[in-house]
Amino acid sequence: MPALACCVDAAAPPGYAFAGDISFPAPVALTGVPPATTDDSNNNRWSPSLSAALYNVDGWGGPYFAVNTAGNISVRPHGSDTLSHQEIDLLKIVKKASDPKSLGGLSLQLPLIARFPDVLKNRLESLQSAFDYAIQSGGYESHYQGVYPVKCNQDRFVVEDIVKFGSPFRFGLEAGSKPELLLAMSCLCKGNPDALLICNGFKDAEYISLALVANKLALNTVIVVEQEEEVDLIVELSKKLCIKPVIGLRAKLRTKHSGHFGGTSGEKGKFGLTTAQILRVVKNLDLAGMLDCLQLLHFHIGSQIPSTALLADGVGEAAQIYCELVRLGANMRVIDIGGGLGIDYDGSKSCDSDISVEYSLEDYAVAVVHAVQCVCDRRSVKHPVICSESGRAIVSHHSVLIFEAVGTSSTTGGGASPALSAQYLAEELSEDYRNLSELAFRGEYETCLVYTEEMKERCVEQFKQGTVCMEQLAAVEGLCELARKAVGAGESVRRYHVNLSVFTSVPDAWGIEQVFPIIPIHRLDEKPSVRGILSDLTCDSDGKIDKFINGESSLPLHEMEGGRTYYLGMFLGGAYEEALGGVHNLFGGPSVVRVSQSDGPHSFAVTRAVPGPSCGDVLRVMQHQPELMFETLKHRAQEYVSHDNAAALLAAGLARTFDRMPYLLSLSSFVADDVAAAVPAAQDLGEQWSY
Amino acid sequence: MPVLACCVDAAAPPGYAFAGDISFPAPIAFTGVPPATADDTNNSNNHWSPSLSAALYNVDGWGGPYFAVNTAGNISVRPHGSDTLSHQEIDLLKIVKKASDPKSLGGLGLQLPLIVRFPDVLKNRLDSLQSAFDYAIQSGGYESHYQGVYPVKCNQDRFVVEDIVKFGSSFRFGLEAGSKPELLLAMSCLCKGNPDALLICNGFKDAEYISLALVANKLALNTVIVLEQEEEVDLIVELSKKLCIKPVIGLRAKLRTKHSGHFGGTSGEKGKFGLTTAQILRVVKKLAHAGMLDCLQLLHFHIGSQIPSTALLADGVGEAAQIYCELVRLGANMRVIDIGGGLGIDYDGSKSCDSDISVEYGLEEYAAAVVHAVQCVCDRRSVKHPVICSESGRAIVSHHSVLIFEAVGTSSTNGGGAPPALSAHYLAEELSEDYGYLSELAFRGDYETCLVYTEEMKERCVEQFKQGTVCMEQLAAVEGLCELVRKAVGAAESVRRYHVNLSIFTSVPDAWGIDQVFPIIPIHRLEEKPSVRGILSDLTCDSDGKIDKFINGESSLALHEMEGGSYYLGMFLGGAYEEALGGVHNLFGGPSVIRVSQSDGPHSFAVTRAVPGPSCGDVLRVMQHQPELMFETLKHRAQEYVSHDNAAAVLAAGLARTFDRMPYLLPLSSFVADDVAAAAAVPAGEDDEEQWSYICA
Repeated sequence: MPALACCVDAAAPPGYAFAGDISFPAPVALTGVPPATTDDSNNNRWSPSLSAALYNVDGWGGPYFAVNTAGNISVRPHGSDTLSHQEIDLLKIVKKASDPKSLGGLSLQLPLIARFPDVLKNRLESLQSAFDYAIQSGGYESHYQGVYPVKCNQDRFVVEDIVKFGSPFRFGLEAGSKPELLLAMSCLCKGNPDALLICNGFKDAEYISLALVANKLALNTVIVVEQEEEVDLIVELSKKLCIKPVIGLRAKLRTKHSGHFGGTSGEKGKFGLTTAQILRVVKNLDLAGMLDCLQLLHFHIGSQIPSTALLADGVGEAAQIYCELVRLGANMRVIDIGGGLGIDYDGSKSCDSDISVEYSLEDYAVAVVHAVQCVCDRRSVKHPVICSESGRAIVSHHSVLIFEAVGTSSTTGGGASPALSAQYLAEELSEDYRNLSELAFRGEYETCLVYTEEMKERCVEQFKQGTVCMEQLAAVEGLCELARKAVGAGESVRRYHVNLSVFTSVPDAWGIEQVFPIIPIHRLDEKPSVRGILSDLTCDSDGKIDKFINGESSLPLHEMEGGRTYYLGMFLGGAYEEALGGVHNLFGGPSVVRVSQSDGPHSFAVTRAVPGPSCGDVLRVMQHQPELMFETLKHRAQEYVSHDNAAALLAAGLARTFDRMPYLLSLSSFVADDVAAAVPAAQDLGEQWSY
Repeated sequence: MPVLACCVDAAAPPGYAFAGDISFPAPIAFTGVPPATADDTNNSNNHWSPSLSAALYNVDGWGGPYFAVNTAGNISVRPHGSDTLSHQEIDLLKIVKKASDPKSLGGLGLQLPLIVRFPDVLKNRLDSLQSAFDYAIQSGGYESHYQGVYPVKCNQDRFVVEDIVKFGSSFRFGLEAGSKPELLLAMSCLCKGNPDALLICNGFKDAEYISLALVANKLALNTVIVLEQEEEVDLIVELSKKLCIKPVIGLRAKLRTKHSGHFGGTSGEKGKFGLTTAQILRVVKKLAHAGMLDCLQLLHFHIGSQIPSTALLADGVGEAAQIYCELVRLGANMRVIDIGGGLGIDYDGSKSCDSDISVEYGLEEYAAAVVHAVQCVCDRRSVKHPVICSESGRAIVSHHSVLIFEAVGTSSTNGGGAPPALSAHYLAEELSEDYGYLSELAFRGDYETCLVYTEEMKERCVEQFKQGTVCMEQLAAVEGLCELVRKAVGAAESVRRYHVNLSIFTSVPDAWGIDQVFPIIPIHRLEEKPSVRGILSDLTCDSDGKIDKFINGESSLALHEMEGGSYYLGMFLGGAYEEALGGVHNLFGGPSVIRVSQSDGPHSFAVTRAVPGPSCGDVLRVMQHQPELMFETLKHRAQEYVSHDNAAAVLAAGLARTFDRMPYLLPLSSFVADDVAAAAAVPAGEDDEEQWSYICA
């Protein structure tokens, strides 16, 4: 056997096979290629803990996510307080959700959002505890009561849970639009009467009237002035409606932070009042005899504040403004530090990245309390109530998006190559072949690769001229791929096709290149052997994920095995993604299950399960009427299909498609329908092909 | 009067006013500052005209032949393009008035933002595309025909798709689908279309998708299942045998031709879609083994959106034509070459091939390049000319849709409005050293250093404020001084922030996601010279919610000062992709929509369909809330806490109206009636003992 063939066989990793025989008219020695057997032996010693380290699960996921001994991701719904029997195996949830009802499952299609209200509760309690501890240990003479900014996730059950779980600590809500205000008003009717209702955003007369009405309904409402003109409207409407408002104002700080989320910081930000505007607002309120209504100062340094040093600087500046407002005669009670409490999306605890922060909840709370206390003590001002609008910190962890990989393809343009056209290589490319042999013999592998790429470019040009045929082009491409593998060129990245729409489910990955932890949720007891990027189902080349945590541009993944579903999860995506998503290519939202920890089998109970929007639902969003569409198609079937029974079966199949989600179905779930649809084939023997 | 005051007065543009008196303990000479009067004379408002606005905003460049500026200073729509007669022009402002005026005034009572759709423009675009190819085919002696398809992902709106099928019926214009709902949509609409129209099935496919496509074939729709992945062919063979439906199969080739720019991401070997050479050969072999090679009839490829030049286009199409001829040689029953999308829109009117938002060719040049490239290759290889298909969505739907929205207010972007009265005492005493130095710099005419120095002063003052050694009035004084110096020196034109009654995330998502630029301009007052540079801030509580990239590479837009009335802006050429991509960030839902056809009645148009955008209740429902229950909860709360039944009922009625209205801001005028009614119902006299009712925390 020629030497090249021997070397190639030795170098190829297990499981690879070359189509057809490889033969060359002259041998090419590719000596020096390191054997792959070392990696082979490592696979036997892989373990779930190695996967946990590889994907840094403890870094971004602690204390809520871990890898269990079965090699699956487990959820620890009570965080650090979770007992071992309370851990929930995520794969079992997916099985429960997606298995057919005949097997005791819920028959939901993927993609799927699994929500964990227990995690939500734990996050809320952790935030409250962090501030309570900072206040107590620092001798701060007031309290913390936060609000949840509903824009982070407006889902009814999320907001209702937050109001319920937060009731013991007077946890309130923040709204930034009229629908959000209606939502917050409605939910807080069941909340703590002292809970704050913070009204942010741009306001017209209707918004302000609504906020005044909320005050009338005994909701602890604060109208936060974002634009100077709003104060005139507030004064006018409150006089007319005979409702005395509680007013806050949003200050535009000068403290800046870099990074994408710092866009709101500094003087050029979109929101807030300048120093001069604050002074004018105070004057206007004073003239209206309503200065005592001014009770809250709000500001926002920017999302994902990277460090406590920056945080303290900003809060310190704001505390000075707070004290100035006290001096100017306002009836100040609350300082609202806004959002900015960051999530460590990649577990690096770094202050140099948009997706990480260097502090914990406790560090954050201590920095805030300390900064406010220092300034107020120095200026002999009574300590204000501290409020924050920490949405990301509350809701990010409670939601996991589960989706399947449905196939893979190479990103280097060639799969396994076909049988090479030996004659073409021998005759047409003899000179090139000889050069290549010589390079290989000398061990100049990099030059070898460059040379093969040049060969391919030349061949493509000849193909475009029509002087090279498709088989010849494929042969050269196959040779390039062969050389590439033989030389052990840069690890090949494969494309995993996932049953998901990035535009619907992970819009920030598209819009601002945000990175979320995405990892397999099972098979973590096996060593991943492939580097992959994720391609979504849409017909849009932007529909892909090729940025992963730790700055990686590909993700370690397992080979897909025939007939076995491969599940991936996107974690920490509970904030913003659901409202931002659209219906590009008419792929709608995922199914949703709510999972609570319970002492029953598998440690969990599904408390709510909702399929995602069906094909009919997304069509309706675009003004179509699925019922009429179905009738049109049914009539068409009756018109063109020669057997009534077959037409009825076709219609039934169409109806099922209208009722199902747009995403791809695994073949197994289609077989039953397929068999049923195929039944009338026997009756059509006389017309085997009809088209 | 101090010299500084005189100079400042002279330098300030007309219309500016300084709050309070300006007095300094010592004069600062700002000699050498060029007076503004020369500009006044040369560019005074009196000499401005609509045609100058048309040039300023390059309306003819990106908007021709559909949009122009009329003599009233408004944008007019020319629904039939170049064939529009003067009496058929439609004034866009009149449409907005018709849509937004209250019903009591003969309007439709719709809230802004508003999408105005012009089906006549849609028809003209379709006709123009078809004509371009027909002409190229006829003049080149090409021996087949063009029949395109519309890729429904560009705009899946029912009425848009139905119109395209209707208008395109006479030239066999079909549809392309890329998902199951899109396929259901295309099947349903094409039941009313030309029987020869193509139904192209692209995208990733499972057994259900393929079965659905086979069923479409059974229903006598001219269906082509296009292979995007090699594995699909096995499934097609298996299912077509089972269902006894012989398919028409296409395959998508992954070309090697590349183009740069954002939209070139699909091009070249690393693209997301299509089959490689080796895969194509394997597919052909498999189909031959299955006895179905005659089913293979169409070649599809896609160079990338917004192909910048005809040279690149010809290169790609030429490569594809070679593949087509190879498939013929290999025994496939080839009939159609589908060149995909890529026909670009010139969003900024620059006709440039170096930009993602412009292209250097017109429809006719595009068609000629395609026909020529296919013809050359096929003739050289003695292959029968294929039917040419394209999936030119952007070119068909972009122009037909205009998004109208209002600016509701403005603010400065450099941190200060008009400064308050300066604290002379503070400046004289605390900053005497700084003040003296500043005077010296000004005297020497060193204005740049003057600016740098004032910024340093401000930074120092901010730090002192943070330490608590400077009070708010003092900080404001220094900021005011900085602003004063800035204006006096004539520093870079100040950019203002215009707050617009819009959500970027809902209505212009590509501006956020991929920094796409659309033509955005005022739709009226174009007879006035715009005097402000502005950026647009949207209503959401998100700092990304802004537009600060405009056509011609500008980072601000020329705008007019806002006056008492509404100030309307339009976003043009946004008919493709934006509506499906948009979400409900902050629960701002979609805009109202009206369809406007040219008619010979008054104002040259008729509104054929008008739909308000989703209400507050509608967007809440999307998030699983039940607005009816929410309303009941709040109504009960009102009954519980409001002491008069009548007042509680009025409050409840107000709440109900808010649930039923769109989330966007309302102009004050439309709220007055409700407000008065609500106020009248609360008899102040009876509440004397409780003039203020609020909860003391």
